[in-house]
Amino acid sequence: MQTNFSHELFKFTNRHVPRYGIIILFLLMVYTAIPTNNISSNIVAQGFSAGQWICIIIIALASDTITMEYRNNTMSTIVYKSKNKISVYISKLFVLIIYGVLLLVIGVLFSFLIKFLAARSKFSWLSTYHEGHSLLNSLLLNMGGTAIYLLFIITLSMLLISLFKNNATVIIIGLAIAFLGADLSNVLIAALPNLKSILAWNPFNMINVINQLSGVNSSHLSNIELIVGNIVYSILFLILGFWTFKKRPI
Amino acid sequence: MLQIKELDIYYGRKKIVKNASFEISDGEIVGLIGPNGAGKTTIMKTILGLTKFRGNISFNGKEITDNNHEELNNVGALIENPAIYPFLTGKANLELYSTNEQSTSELITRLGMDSYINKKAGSYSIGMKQKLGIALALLNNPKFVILDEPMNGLDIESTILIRQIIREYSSRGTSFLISSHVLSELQKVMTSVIIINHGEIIMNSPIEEFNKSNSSSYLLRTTDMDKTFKLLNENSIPVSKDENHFIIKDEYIDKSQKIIFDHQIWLIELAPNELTFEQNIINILQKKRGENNAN
Repeated sequence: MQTNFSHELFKFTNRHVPRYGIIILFLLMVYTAIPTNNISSNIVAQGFSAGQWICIIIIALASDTITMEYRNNTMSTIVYKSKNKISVYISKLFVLIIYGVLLLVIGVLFSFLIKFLAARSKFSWLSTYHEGHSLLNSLLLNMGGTAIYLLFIITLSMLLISLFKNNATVIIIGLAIAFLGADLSNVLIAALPNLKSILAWNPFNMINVINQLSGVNSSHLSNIELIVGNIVYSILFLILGFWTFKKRPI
Repeated sequence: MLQIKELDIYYGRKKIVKNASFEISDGEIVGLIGPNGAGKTTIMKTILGLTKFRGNISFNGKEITDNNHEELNNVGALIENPAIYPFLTGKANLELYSTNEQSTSELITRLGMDSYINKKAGSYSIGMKQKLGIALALLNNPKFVILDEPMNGLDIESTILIRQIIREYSSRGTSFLISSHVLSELQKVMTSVIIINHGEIIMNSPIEEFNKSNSSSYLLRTTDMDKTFKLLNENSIPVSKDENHFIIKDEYIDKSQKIIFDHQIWLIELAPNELTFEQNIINILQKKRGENNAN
């Protein structure tokens, strides 16, 4: 497992794609800030939508990290040189999680930079923003929520790529979840209010963890329930993803 | 070293390799030959634990399954196309799996790759990629190497070099399982041949025995060719001629010798009329197809 992990890390750090991911994150955060003539504290607390952009970048990267191996005919080598297939799958998962955390840290730093450039003295990071949390605290809680949701989205992307074997399909499904997931969930719950307590556990609702930890409750679940829901779904996707990957012929 | 027993491989519900059994000993170079779609690559992938199967595969007495690759530490492989990361240099591709820097450098030099090994593998020509794929298979002095079409894209000098390297490794005890459509090249290195057709092994034999068993006629030259021809005709022995010889089927060779000897004619030459390796393979495959059609 350790060897597999170091191989994955070596390959990942030698690719251009992760570096492009950081540049794209910065550009997307700037894109979020630019149209807002009057930057609100809400958009700053959300790290200029860093959580959403990081999820999208991770979806693309997670699917590519597996399809790249099939494209280069290297999957057969890494599988036969590994003790078993699970160590290949888990190593890739760990590398993606580390990259996701790195993007979150960079997202926070970019937030500081963009706020400094675009809304220098408008808000103080330490002033109270919402539910007794300071702006800085809200930003960090939102990033913490994104970190939990990243587990969900990485394991889901790896499951989808094992199922569909096609980058574009995974990215489209991933984008649909990232952009429409929360709305879909709200429509579903609004349509069947009697089943709210059950429907609140639907997978589309899990994306609300990105914003809810800082006090914006839109999921109809408590913070703990939402975190547990994300972790349970992540475990489920991980098991299904590995099972599909194991069955897939090389 | 490698033992395969009663191997069945399925693709979905279709059985694509049926009851395959063979063994490969230390230093042996086995040629795996068969038409496209016969199951050669599938067998190779299965030995590497990449596909599900029924039966038993063991390497040095320890079992290999699709989810247990412990014993494959000492195995190198080039399957279909070279497994190369284009964003890494050739050297980095090798270093990813290398356990001995010194031996890797020697291998790079032995394969004549020094001039381009530090360039990104994505910029390599087909032949350069193929050499890198072979280097990956030979990395860390493996005990067993699987090469699927190793001569693809190689120029003549590289082909000769790879042949020499295969022999060197074999003399040090490394075994090889090689499939190639370039039969003349394979013939020059292999010590045993396995012929596979429609997923069934139809021949598994050391190369000497293969050559011997497929000589079905003899070339004959005597001190009196005209009289010999007349005598053979009188005794109803079918005979054909090439420039300097009579060609006689092996079942008539004892009788022919006796007739000639009884008439005080002496042999100058009596030798097996060997078909080329390719012709022999084609004959075997055609014979098998004929049997299948008859059934």
